[in-house]
This record gives sequence, C-alpha cells and structure tokens, in this order.
Amino acid sequence: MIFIQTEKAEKSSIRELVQFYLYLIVTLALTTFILLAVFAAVVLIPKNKFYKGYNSLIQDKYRILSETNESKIIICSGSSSAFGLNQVLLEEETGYKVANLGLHASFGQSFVTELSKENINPGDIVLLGFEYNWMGWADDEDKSQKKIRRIFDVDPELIMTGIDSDIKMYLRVPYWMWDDLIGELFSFFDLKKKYQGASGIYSRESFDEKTGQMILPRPESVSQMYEKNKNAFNNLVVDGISHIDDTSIEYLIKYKDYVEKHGASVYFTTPPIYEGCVDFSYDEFDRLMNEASERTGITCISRQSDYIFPGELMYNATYHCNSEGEKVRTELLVKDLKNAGIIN
Amino acid sequence: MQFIEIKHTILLLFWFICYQFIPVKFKYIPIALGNICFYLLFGVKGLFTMMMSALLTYIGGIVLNGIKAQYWRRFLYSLFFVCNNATLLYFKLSVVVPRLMDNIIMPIGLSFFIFQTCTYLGDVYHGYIKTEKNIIRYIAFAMFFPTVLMGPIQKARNLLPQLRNPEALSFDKGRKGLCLFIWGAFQKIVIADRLKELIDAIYDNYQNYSGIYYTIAVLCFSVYIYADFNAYSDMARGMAKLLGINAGRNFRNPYFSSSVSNFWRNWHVSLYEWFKEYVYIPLGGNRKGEGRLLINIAIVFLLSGLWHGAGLNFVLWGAINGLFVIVEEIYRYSRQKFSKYGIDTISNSKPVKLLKRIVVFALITVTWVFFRNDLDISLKILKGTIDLSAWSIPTRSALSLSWTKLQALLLLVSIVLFGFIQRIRVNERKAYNTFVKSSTIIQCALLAVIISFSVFFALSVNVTHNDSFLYFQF
Repeated sequence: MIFIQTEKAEKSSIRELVQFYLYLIVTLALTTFILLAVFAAVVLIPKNKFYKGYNSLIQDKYRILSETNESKIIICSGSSSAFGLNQVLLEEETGYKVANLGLHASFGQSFVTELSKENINPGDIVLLGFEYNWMGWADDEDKSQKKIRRIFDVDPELIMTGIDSDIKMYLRVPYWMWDDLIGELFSFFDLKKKYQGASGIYSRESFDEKTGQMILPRPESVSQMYEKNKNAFNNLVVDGISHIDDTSIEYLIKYKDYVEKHGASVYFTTPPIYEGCVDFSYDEFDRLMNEASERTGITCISRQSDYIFPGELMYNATYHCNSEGEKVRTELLVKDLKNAGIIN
Repeated sequence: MQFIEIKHTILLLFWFICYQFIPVKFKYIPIALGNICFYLLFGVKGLFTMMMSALLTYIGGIVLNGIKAQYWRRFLYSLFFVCNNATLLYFKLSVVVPRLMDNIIMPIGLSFFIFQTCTYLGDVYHGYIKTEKNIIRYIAFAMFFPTVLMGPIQKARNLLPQLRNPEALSFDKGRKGLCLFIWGAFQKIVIADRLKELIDAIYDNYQNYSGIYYTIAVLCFSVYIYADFNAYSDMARGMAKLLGINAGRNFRNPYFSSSVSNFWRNWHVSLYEWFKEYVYIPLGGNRKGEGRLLINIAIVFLLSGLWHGAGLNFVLWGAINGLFVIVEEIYRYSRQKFSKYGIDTISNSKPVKLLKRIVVFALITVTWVFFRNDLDISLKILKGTIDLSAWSIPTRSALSLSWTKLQALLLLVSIVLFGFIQRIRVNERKAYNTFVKSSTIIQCALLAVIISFSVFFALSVNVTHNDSFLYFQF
C-alpha cells in the first residue's frame, strides 16, 4: 500500500515537473516574442534612418532583383561590382537584364547569395564575382583551432544599416545570421542615435536608385586618390591562403544545386584588382580559382590576371574601378561570357 | 564540452530523458557512459589518461580491501595516493621542465579528477566506505561529468552511496536543478564573459594603461573569477540534482568573509576540505602546537598554489594567502592570550565587521592579480594602481571595447543583481523557499527573463573572444 502510494506520489511529482517545464517553455516563447518586438521597434524607430547611406542601396538592388522577371544576369559580389560594372553596357551586349547585387564585400558573400535566391528563374545567369575574403586558412594556421566559416562571415552592422527599416528584407536573412543581428542590436541602437547622414561616393547620391547603377563620375585614378584612401588599398594576402575551407565549399555546392534546380546556371568570375596590391605571382589566383571550381563544380569563366588593372583604371581602393575601368571590366566580362558560350 | 553549446545541450537533454527511464539500481551505467562520451568530446588521449588514473585508484581500493595489516595498509594507501598525484605533478611541472613524452596532453579537469579519486583511496583506507568492486560504477564516480571539470570535488563517501541509490527525480529537484543551472548560465554569460572582455582588454595590453584602468581590471577580476567559478559550480550542481545526486555547495558567499581564513573556508569549499583532510590533518593540523600549525598552514597554501599551476605567480599567490592566514592565526592566538588578562583587542561591532570585510576583499583582490598575471606584470600593475599621478577619468573608447553605454549599464545592473542574489543565497534554502512560494507563472516568468537575457547577451558577444571557463585550465 505504501509502495503504491509512493509510486503514485512520484508520478504526480513528475507530472507537476513536466507541467512546470511546459509553462517555462511557453513563457520563454512569450519573452522571445517580446524581444523580437523590441528588435522590430529598434529597427523601425525612426524609420529609414540610414536611407542616405551607401549600404541602403542593397534595398534597391534587392527590389530590382525581385521585380526583374525577364532573363537576367544576377551579380553576386561586393563593391568590386558596384564600382566596376556598367549595367547598361552589359545589358546591351548580352541581351540580358542585369540585377547587380554587388555593393559591399563585408556584408558577407553568403548574405548576398542568400538575397539572390529571392528571384532566380529558368534561363538566368548567376555570376559569383567574389572578392577574396571568402577563402579559408593558410598553411600555418591550425584549422582545428579556428572557427573557419569564411563565407558565412557577415558584418551585422552593415546588414542592419543596409536593410534598415525594411522588415520584409529581414525575412530573407537566413536563420544562421540571426544570432549576429540580434547581438548587434545594442550597437545598432547606438549608431542610429549618432548617425548624421552621408554624402559623396559612399552614399545613395552616387547611385541611380531605379537601376542600382553607380552613376557618380569617377574620372580620377589611383595616382590622385591613393593619398586620401591609403587604408583602402590593402595588399592582398591571397597567396598565403593555401586552401579553401570546407564549409565555404559545402555552401557553394548547395547554392549551385539551388540555382540549377531553378533552371538557372552559376559561374565564377573574377573581380577587378589594382595591380599595386598584388606582390605575388598571378598564378596563385588561378590555383585558387581552379581549386574553387573543382571542389564546387562551378565553372570559372574568367582569369584573374586579365582583371588586374593598372592605376589608370582604378579608383580609391583595391577592388574599385574608376569610370574608365568600369567600362573595361564590363567589356572583359562580356568577352568571358561569350568565350564560355554562355551568351552569343 | 562546455555546458552552454547548444547542440551538446540538445544531446544532453536527450540523454537525460533516457536516464529517467533507467531503473534506479542501473542508473550508474548511463552516467558512466555519459562520462566517457563527455570526455571523448575533448579527445581520446585525454580520456586515456583519465581511464588509466581511474584504473589505478580502482585497483588501489581493491588492494586496500584485501590487506588487513595496518602497516601495509598505510604503506599501500600512501603509495597509491602518491602515484595518483604524481600524474598531476607530472603535468603541472611539464610547464616548467621539458616533457618526457611530447604527445601527452593534460586532460581537462585533471586536477579535480585526481583529487576526487584520492578521496576514494582515503575513504576506503579509513573505512568510511566499502571498496567499490563494480568498475562501471567506479567510473561513474571518478569521472562524474557534471563536476569533473571544475568541481565541486566530490568525496567518495558522499557520491558513491548516491550512485548506488540515486534519488528519483521529483518536481522539487527538477525545479531546483533547473534554477541552479539557469542561474549559473546567467553568471557565466552575462557577468563573467563580459567582465573577461574588459579585464583582457587591460591586462593583455597593460603597457598601454595605468592608474584607474589597472584598478578597474583588478576589481573586475575579483568579481569575474567569483562569477565564473560559481557559475560552473551552480550549473554542475543543477545538473547533478537532475540526476538525483546532491553535489554540495562550493561557495558560501566568500566575499562577505571578515577574515582571510574564513574566506578560504567559503571559497572553493571542496578544495579547502580536501586539503584539510589530506594534507593539513595528516601533517598534524593544530594538534602539535602553534608553531607547527603555522608551518602546516604554509604548506597547505603553497601546495594549493602549485595545484593551480607550477608557475611562480601561482606559488606566490598561494604563499601570500598563506601569509595572510598565518598573520591572522598569530593575531587570534595573541588575542586569546591577552583575553586571559582581561584585555580585549578589537571589538566585533557592525562597523568593525564591515571594515574587516572590506579589508579582506582588498587583500584577496590584490592576490588575484598574481593569479591572473606573471610576476613582473603583477608587480607593475599593483604599483600602477597606487600611482595616483597616473589616474585619469576612464573612458570607454580607451578600453577598445565595442560596448555601447546601454550594454555597460546593463552589465552594471547585472553585477548588482548578482551580488544581491548571492547575498540572499547565504541561506539558500530560505531564498529558494521564497522563490517557490510565488505562483508558477511568476517563477517561470523570472526564469524565462533570465534565460532570454542570457541568450541575448551571449549573442552580443565579440565572437573572437575566448569564453571558456577560467578553471578549465586547472
């Protein structure tokens, strides 16, 4: 009898415990909801604070992508394609519309590729013109000790100042980036209070909002811009990167599958680089891009050495073309597309 | 494995649910398996070392059980005890002398593990418990995963009987275990990890700082080490409670102690008790006169310093603390002598007690500087804190931290809350009863807020920052 009573008491106790845990889960869900509401409030109030900023162009580029249903070339890249692509020329030469998502490499390359999934249709061409920040570790780095996830490295501040109050765009941000965005909330709130606006090349006024094309004339070249922008001319350390990390490769394989399932095709191309930032053999680039192609199955249609430009074609940073360089780069890209048989 | 990694937490949750369905008399089996899997996460080599050590003490227990002659029992007990500690000594000294074999890695938590298995030898020798012949149950004890990495060091006479017959999970145990775990996680994520950023920013670049910044780092380290260590202890206790095991408290509000001796009785209680039982008392304790007592105190603290690390700074840290306790003992002895003649020295009124607490906190805080830094850096920092000419108004930008004002304010509020909660935990049972008397919704809401806050703070961390528990290195 005592045994039965003890057993009954134990079962009742366990039931109470399970109930308690369920209450806790429900309360946790509520507090999570409240936190998300706080997140939304910080993002929305005040609205479009960063509208004049350079990063906010990602909203326009995303909108252009979503609205373009004709056969298009989608460029996934950083600022090398913001500064180095003449969309009108590319459209005329290829017969394809252009949705250029290139804006800032530090958004994180995976952020841009995830945005591109918004509208990939049969017949589209996706060009991955990544700057080299997505590649992995050097020989002397112990990869087991480091959290290597280069293609997933995102800058939450850039993303949030770019997306700003566009709540719908946040829904496109993949779940693995959400912890970074939530963690950024304090800083974002602070930044919003202090932000004074922007002008010049790194602002909205340098772009055509309707097309996402950089329209601010850039007649200057490196010789005139170098002193003012020394920090932006970083010597590339690509030659120190002996391997591309596995997580980046796995992601790109999945991305390729996604693109092809939607009837489109994806290729690597190479960004324009100022020759003064390369003090090693250009063969290193070929080696790395060959490795990227072999391991992902994504064909590379360009040779980096063709895109290493003299100072006369470059502007204010390692990967940034001036107006003349933009034209040259676009023509080269068209040539690469034709040589690869992708367009006629 | 650290408790706070999400995928491991999910695995642990699954294991825990399965554990509840295992009959009581076999519950030690999943614990032993859990211990092994837990250690495998750190690498096979570490597990191998631990298993060899566990086997040594297991055999030691069986051997002691078979020997009746007191002389031989004492000899073998000492032999096994010394051999077991020799493993620890080898790894500790490998920092300062070349290793004999390069590929041996010090298993994480070895210091705690060795001391825990020594308690088994001691308890069998003294007849407090019977020899454990079931090797699986022994492994469940020796490598008890909730506490093996950072304590509390479990005495065999406390843990083994519980492993033989763990308590069934009940509503109260399940709730209390969860509360302890959540509170531990809060201390770790919100307080300890944030303070570590600040401390590292100053200590790792100490040449660029002086004056007030050193003082900030010194004070913050005191809070940090308590929060970090207590966090692990609470989480370990919480997990053990969910397994039906009472792991014992490891901290009893040490910073409210009014003497250094009292501080060490309340800080890392399990280590204090270990040294008391296996070093201090065998050396004679206080039974062989005042002079010998002082020597015994010095030996205990020097060994304690060595236990933390073979570096000169740890030994010095131990020595300084030992010196403080020795001075207090001399004072206590003198006071006893004087009181016989009707002379009382200092009263024990509230203001005096408060002053004592402040002095003890200050003394302990100074010794922590040696705990954290090499000797020469420690001396530079301490000198810098009293160099008032180098003091200036501190600024956030000078600290190169990415914190916003709001983050800094929330941290300050959290530290105050931490202090308040820890204070009321002096009487933990009473504090817990007050908590459970409130409605279930209030209890769940409080816990949910703490969890959400902790997760939110964890997400706002600088991802390049090393956030492992401090005592993992021991």
